[in-house]
Amino acid sequence: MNPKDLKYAKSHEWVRVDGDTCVVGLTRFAVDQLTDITYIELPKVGERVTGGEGMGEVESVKAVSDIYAPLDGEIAAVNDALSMDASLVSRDPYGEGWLVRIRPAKDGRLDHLMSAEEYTRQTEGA
Amino acid sequence: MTGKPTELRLIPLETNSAEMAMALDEVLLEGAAAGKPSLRFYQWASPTVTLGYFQPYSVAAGFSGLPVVRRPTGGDLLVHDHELTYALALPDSLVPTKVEELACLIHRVIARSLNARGVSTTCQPAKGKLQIAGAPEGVLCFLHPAAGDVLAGGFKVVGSAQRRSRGGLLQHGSILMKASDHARWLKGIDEVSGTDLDVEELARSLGTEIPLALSLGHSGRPWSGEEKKRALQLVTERYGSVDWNRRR
Repeated sequence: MNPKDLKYAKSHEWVRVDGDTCVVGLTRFAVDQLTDITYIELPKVGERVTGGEGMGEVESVKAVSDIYAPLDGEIAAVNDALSMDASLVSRDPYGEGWLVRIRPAKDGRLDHLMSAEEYTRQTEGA
Repeated sequence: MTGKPTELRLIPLETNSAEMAMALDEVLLEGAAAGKPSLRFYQWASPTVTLGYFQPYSVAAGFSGLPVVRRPTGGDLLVHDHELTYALALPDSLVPTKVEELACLIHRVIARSLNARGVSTTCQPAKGKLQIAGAPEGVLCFLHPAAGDVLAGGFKVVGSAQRRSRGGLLQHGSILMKASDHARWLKGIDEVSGTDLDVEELARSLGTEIPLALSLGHSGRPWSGEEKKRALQLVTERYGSVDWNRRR
């Protein structure tokens, strides 16, 4: 079940607006496809990211996949716990397994992101 | 390109240096992301160590004297010597939703092909660890069979790794034909089965069997000039560079 209070990118990241930053993680659908996550590499605090472009990488069962930034902005925080235990992403993708906080660019838009219902329809059709 | 491709491009068996092998595999992935599925087979010009994308360079310390190249794919360290390697690149439209399904599918095809040549194989049911006396702990891919990897005589003889990018997937894998003097703990297909398989014949056969398993036709087409140029660029920028190979 995809939480209704989040926004979703086509590339399977979720976004929660929290004050002046957006918390970003991977959706349950994404982590279920990846199965056991063993390594994760995320951008550094202060790095600029562009919506739709790669911002990190994840390894699971010998497969390396890109993680995409769901919006333009600057990395405000990174979930350091993942460097010790990347499997947190699989265990709790909407909670302790969050990836980064992005401070949206001044003209940063979120209206390209999907609602939970729209995202559920996308993944059911996958 | 629109619609689902129906034909797999087959690139004839070749021998590559390690850095060129990885560069050509990445060229294959770029082609797949542009909608063109391809399959190729290759052997290694000299014994080489490759590291999984996330592995630290230091894990190769026990293999001094061998060239070390970082793969674009995941997994553990491999010593490539007497092996047949395949690389399959598919556009997203042909990739199963679960990443490991493709590895299992291709491994089943290879296992069947080996069985038909008198090699008795099994597929590893779940992630495991092989206990082999004297083998280094924790770094060698062929000591850690994943679900679906192919085993013969108690040794892992086929394993694969993947890279997913926007629009496509690369899966490459090793078929361990004979033991290497550089990884004496591992045995190849010929040692465990008492066979002496013809690598070229096996590659030709798999070049028919893999497309069939994917419900695709196939046609042979060598590298274009543009592709070779791109591969050379990737050797310079990435697989032949110290920055890339020692980045972790």
